[in-house]
Amino acid sequence: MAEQNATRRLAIETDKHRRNEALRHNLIAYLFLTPALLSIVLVLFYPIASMVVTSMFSRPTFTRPSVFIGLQNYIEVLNDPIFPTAVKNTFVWTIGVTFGQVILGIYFALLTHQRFPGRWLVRMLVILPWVLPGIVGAITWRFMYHQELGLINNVLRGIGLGHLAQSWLGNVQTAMLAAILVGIWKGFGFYALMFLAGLQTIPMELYEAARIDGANGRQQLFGITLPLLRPVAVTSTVLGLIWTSNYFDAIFILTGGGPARATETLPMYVYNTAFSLYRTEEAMAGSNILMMIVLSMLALYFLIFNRKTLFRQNQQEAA
Amino acid sequence: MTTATAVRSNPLQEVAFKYRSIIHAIIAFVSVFILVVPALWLVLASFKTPQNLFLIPPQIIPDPFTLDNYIEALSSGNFPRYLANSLFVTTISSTICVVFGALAAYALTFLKFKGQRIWQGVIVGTQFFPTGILLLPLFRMWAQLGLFDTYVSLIATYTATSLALCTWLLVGFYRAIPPEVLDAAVIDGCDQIGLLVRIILPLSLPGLLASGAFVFIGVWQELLLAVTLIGDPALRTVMVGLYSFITEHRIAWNLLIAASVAVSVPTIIIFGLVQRYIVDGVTSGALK
Repeated sequence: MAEQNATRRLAIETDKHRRNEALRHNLIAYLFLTPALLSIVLVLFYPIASMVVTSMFSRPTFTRPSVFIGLQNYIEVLNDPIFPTAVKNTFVWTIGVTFGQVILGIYFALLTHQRFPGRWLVRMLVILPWVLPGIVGAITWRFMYHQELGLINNVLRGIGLGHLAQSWLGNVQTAMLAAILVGIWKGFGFYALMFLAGLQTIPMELYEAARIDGANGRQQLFGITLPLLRPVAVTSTVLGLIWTSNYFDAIFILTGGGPARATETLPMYVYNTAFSLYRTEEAMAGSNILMMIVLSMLALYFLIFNRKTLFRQNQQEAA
Repeated sequence: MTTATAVRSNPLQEVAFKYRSIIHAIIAFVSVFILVVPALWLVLASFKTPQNLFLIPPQIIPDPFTLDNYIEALSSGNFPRYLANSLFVTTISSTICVVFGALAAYALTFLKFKGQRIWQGVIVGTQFFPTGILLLPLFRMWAQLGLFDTYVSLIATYTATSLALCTWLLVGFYRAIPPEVLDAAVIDGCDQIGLLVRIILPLSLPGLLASGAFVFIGVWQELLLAVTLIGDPALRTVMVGLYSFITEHRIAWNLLIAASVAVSVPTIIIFGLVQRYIVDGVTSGALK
């Protein structure tokens, strides 16, 4: 834009004009960015920084003020007999939910990429669980899992499998599985959306060429569709792993971490440590451990895969 | 499997195609039906009388059909108050978020400045920051500032946590504006502020509304921050209010179910209205 005006002027003036323009751009850019950056720094970065600091201090008591104790709180958390259980639960939950969502997402994306009567309705319904407020979804499932009222137990009784009917969320053996199913149900629609958008970018000519070469449906699926879907799949899976590992709204409503900590993932553990046991400093140490896990997962992702797949903007700038 | 849109030339292929599309429709509707059953069951249950809710075997179609659950849930105790609170907090947060986001997205899209990549990274990067980690430090910070139990803390937190996605969506919408329009405006002597106010904002009005709507949906359904930052029952948001139907000893299922359906309606309507824009915006970030 600026260049068009500038070319009409003398070389020296152009140079001066450019410098002024650059200065103005900088000034306006920072003016415009300030409100957003200020709120992010004050509301997100400052608390995190203060959390890192606080996690290295002891809990103040009436007789003893808070003193610096280094990594003591971290050691406390790592030695907490519950901690390994929480880590294990986090892994089971995260991997179970994410992969369930990805598989269902691919299934529904492939299905609704086909043309058939009523496709618009199916597409809308696939997205429905994702659009429903998370709490409502969790409440729905608490109702479904209910020992007497629940549809699941009623269906089991109806088809003569009444002995299998049980309190799905109250049983140590089934609670995690039940929670994972809710997590999958809540989020698969988002993956279906992403994968469908991915499928729509695959050029039709590829399939036509493959058909001319005599490739059948299965060969086309494994030879063209899935490989070309990979970038979208990788990106959304990594993001999904991060989000899912920290998402505990559903667990909060369904079980609160119980029974007997069978569904207590790390964020739930941190929440309970902070707001039920009031061990703030340890909870902050636990929170930081969780944060480091998230950051290292992100770092790993950026190291392994091209970061440009994540930030499309950067790619366009580079081009 | 992915060849349904193939070029069809002869009648035999035409018939095969029709046959296949019917099979696809059946598979799709059966699969999706299984997944939608829980939501459907909830809606049906909301119209049953409390006694009929407990019937074994369960009743499928509500008989008698009643709206009493809705009337009782929506008028019970503080529920109207909760609805008003949520509406207030959500509207203010999404408005502030769109204003801040619109400015930031302008800088990131149309201006060249020092540190562009860093600030872009900072804004977009917060999207990966789970609020679960932030609950405790935020609770402490707002308590220390004396803003615990005020909407200031809740609105500020919602604005900051939603800014990344909002800005990201708006950058996408700004990019869709044809550069010729901008060049023409600059040649006509439009300055940066004029460009934003007179050209870009009016042209991306659908985008602004869609981003605002997306923030609205997210904030409307947020529970954990609302539980953590608000203690006063009179200030509770509607999602926390929903949670109050669940007590240690008893769950008022009929009211809980009706209230759940009721609070989902705004989300679904808003999503339906802006679906097209959101889908484009959200997916464009991860593609290519």
